[in-house]
Amino acid sequence: MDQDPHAKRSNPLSATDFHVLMVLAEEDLYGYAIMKAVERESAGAVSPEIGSLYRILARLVSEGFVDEADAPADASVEHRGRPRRYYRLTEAGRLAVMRESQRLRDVLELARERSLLPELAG
Amino acid sequence: MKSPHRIFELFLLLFPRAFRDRFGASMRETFEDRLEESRKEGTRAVAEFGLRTAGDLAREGIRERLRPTLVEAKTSGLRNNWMGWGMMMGNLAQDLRFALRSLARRPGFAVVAVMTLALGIGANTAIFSVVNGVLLSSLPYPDPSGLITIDEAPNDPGGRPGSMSAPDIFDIESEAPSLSSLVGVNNPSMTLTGLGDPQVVTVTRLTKGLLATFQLTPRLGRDIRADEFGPDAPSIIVLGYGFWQSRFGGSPDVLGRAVTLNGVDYEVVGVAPEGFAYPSTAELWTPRRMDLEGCGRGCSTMRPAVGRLAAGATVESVQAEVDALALTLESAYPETNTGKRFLVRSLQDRVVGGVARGLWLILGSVGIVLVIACANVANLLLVRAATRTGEVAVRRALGASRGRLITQVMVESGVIAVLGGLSGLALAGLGVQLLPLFSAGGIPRIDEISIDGPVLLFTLGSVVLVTVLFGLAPAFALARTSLRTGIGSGATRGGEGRGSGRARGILLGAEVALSAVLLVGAGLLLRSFSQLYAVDVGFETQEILRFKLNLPRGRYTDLDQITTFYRTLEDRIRTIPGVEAAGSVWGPPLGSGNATGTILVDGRPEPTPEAETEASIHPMGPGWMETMRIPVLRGRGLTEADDRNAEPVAVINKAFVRENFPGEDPIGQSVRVTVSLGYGSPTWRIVGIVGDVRSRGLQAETEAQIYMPHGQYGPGDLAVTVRSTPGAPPLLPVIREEVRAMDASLPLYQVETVEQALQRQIAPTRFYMILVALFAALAAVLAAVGLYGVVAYSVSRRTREIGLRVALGAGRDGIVRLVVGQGMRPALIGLAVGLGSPYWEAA
Repeated sequence: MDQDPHAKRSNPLSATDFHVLMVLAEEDLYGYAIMKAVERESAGAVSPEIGSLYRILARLVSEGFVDEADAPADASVEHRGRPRRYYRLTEAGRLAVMRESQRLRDVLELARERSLLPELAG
Repeated sequence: MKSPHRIFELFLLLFPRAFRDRFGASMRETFEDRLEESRKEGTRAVAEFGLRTAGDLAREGIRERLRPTLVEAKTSGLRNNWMGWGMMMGNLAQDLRFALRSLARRPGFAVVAVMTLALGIGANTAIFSVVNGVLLSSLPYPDPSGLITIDEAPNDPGGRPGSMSAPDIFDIESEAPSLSSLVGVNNPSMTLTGLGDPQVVTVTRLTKGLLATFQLTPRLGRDIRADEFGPDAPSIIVLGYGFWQSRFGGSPDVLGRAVTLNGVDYEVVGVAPEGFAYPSTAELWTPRRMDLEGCGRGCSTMRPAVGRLAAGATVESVQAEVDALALTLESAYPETNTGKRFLVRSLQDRVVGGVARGLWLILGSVGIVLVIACANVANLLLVRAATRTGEVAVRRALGASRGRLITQVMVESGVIAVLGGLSGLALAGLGVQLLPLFSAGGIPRIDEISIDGPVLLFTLGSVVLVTVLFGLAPAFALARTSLRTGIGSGATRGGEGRGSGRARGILLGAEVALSAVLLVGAGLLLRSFSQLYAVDVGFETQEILRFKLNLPRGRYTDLDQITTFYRTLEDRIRTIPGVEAAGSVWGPPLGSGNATGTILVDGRPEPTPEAETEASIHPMGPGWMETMRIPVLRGRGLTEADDRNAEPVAVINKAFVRENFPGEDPIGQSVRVTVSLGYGSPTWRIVGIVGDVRSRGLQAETEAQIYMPHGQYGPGDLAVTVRSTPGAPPLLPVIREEVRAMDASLPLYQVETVEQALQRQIAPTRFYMILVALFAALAAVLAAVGLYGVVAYSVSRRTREIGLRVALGAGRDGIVRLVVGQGMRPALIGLAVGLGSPYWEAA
C-alpha cells in the first residue's frame, strides 16, 4: 500500500463517494444513471442532487479515481441526439473501493465480535 | 416550458466558469432527465424537485466558488492540496467577519437594507402560509385526492350549483363505474334537549355511512350500516369527537345512550375519529329516512353528494360518465330531469376553489413587493459598490482574484438576506396571527394556516433568491472595477461609472413601474369593493337584529298553534323599549335556508319543462316588510287579516312580474307554487308588487320572489326580525327572556345583525382589498425610499460639479431642476410603464 500513488486518500471514503465508485465499478455510466444507480444500490439512503453529484465527480476526477469517457459503442441512450458524457472508474478508483470495502469488512468483523450484528452473529 | 431551464441556467451561474465549462453540459443533461422523471409524478413532484435542486445548486455552487476547484488545480499541474476544506472554511469565516464588520460600520445602511428585505420576505412568507394552508395542503382526510363532490350543474356558466335529489344520487352511484361510493348529505337544524340547555344543532342526514367513504374507522362503536336507511330506518346516531367530549365527557359508555333531537331519542352507535367533520360544521350524523315515492327526483333536498373515486378513476372520467347518465335520466324522467346536468369537482376544489384565484393574485402582488425590495437593496448596494471602487482596486492589486471579490460581496449579500429573512419570519409569525382576523370568515381553512415546513422552505428559497437577485449586480459591478479607474478615482470622491448609474436608473424605473401596477390594482379592487358596498339590497340594513327559532313538530302540531306562537312573540317583542318594529319570515335575505318552487299561473296551460319559471318562496308574518322597509310599489302588502281563514293572497317582486307577467297586470291574477312546506300549497291571488330584494347575495342577480302569509303556508321555523331605534340598548337579553317566558326549551340560533350578514358577503373582497392596498402602499414607500436614495447619492457625488456650476453663475432653480430632472426621468418612465400595464392587460 506504500506504493499506492494515491496514498494521501487513505482516509475512509464518504458514503456518497463510495457508492458512486461502487456503481462505476459495475459499468461506465452517465450522470443521471449514476444518480439512479446510487439511489437504488443504497436503498434510497444516499440520494445526491445534481450540484452535489457533479462536485463529487469533479473531485473524484481530480483525485484520479474517475475519468470522463465517451459513450460506449453499444450505448443506445442518447440525449437529444447527442452522445452522453460517461464516467469510468480508473485503476486507482478500483483500488480505493477495494480498500474501503476491506475497511468496511474489518469494521463488520469487529461489530460481529461484539454482537452488534445479531442476525449474523450465529 | 422554458422557464425551469432558465432558472436552472441562472443557478448554474453560481458555479465557477471553469467548472461550468467542464461539467455544465452533463449537469444540464442530468437536470433534464430528472425534470422529465418528476413530471411523470405530477406537479407536486416537479415543485419539490425544483426546490431541492435550487437549494442544492445554490449551496454547492457557492461552496465550489469558495475554493478554487481541484479540477483547476489538476489541469494547471499544481495538484495543490493546500486549498482544502479548512482553507475554504477559513475564507468563509474571514468573509463573514468582513461582511459583519462592514455592515456594522454603516448601521444605517444595514438597518434600511435588512428592514426592507424583512418587509418583503415577511409579507411573502405570511401570504405563502395562507396559500399553502388553504390551497396547497391536502384536506385532512386519508387519500384526499380521491374525494369528489357532485352538484346539480348551474344552468348558466356564472350560476351557482344546485342541490341534488336522492334518486339521482342513487342512480349515479350505481351507474358510474368510476365511483366507488357516493353519499347524499343534507343538514337540517334540530333542537337538542336533555343535555344541558336546549340548543339548535346541525344534524347531517346521510344516504349511507360517511366514514367508510372517507376511509376512516370510528373512534368508538361503528359507522351507520348500509341496511339502516330508508323509511323505516332506526333512530341511530354517530357523534362527532368534539360533541362526545363536550356532552359526554369522552365517556366510553356513550354507546347505547340516547341523544334527543326534536323530541325523538336517537341511540348512539358510534363516535367519529378526532378531527373529522364533514360537512365542515357537522357534529352529528344520522341515516336519512327517505321515502323515495314521497320525495322523488324533482325534490332536490340533498346538498352536494360526496364520494370517492374508484381506483384509477379521475374527476374527468366521473364527469364523462355522469354526463352520459344525465342524458339517459333525461329521457327516462323528462318531467324532472329535462336539462338537468351534474357537476363533478374534487372536494378540495369545492372547498377552496372559490378563493384560489384571489389568493394567487395576492401572492403575485406580494411577490412584486419582494422584487421591489430587492431592487431597492440592490440599488443601495450599487451605491455602496461605487464608493468602494478604490478599496476593491487596491485589493485586486494586492492579488485578490475576481472570484474571491465576488464571493466576498455575495457573502455580504447573503448576510443581509439571512438577517432580512429572520426578521421577515418574525413579521410573518405576526401576520399569520392577524390574517384570520382580517378574513372575517371569508376564506375557508384560514384557521389551518401556520408557519410549517413548506413555509420555512419557501422562506429559505426566498432568501436564496433574494441573495442572488440583489447580490449579483453589485458583485459583478465591483469585480469589473479596473485597477486604473479604481485606484485613480480614489475611494470616495470619484465620478460614478456610467454603467452602474444606468443600472441604478433601470432598477429605480422598474421599482416605480411595479409599485404603480400594484397601486392601480389596489384602486381597481377598491372600486369593485365600493361597488359591492353600494349595491342596493332592497331594504334598510341598519339596526336590524334577527334570530331563528325552530318549533318542534312534536309539540307544535298544527299551523294555528305555530302562527299564534309567532304572532304573540312578535307582539311581546314590539313592547320592549327600543324596538321599533318586528316581524318574521322564512328564508331571510342574505341568510340561509330558503327554497324555490316552480310557478304555475292560473288560466295558462302547464308549462313544458323548458318554459318553467321558478321563484323563491318567502312565507312571512305581518309587519315583516315594514320591519325591513321593503317598499310596496303597487297594490297592498300582507296584513294580520290575511290569516288561515282568509283568502290565500301573495305579493310578488318586480323580477317575478318581469319573468311571469311581461306586459300584463299581475294584480288579481292567481298563481301556485309546486312546493309545500308541510301545510299545503293553495292558489294565491296576487294583491301587491314589492321592490326587489337581494336575497342570495350581493353579487347574485335578484331572482323572482313571492311572499305569502305565514298563517296560510307555514312552516314552524322562522327568522324573527327586529328593528331597533338608533341608540337603543342591547335587545338580545330581553328578547331571550321573552322567548324563554313563552317556551323555556326553545333555543335561539343564527343570531346576527343584518350588517353582520352583509359583512360576511363582502368579506373575501375586503380581505383581498386590504392586502393589495397594504402591499401597494408598502411598494410605494419602498419605491419612494429608493428614489430618495438614488437622488441623494447622486447629489453627494456631484457636490464639486454643482459647486462649480454655482460659481459659474447657475441659479438655485437651475440646480434643483438639474438634480430632480435626472432623478425623475427613470421614475417617470417607470410610472408611465406601470400605469399603462393594466390597460394592456384589459386590451
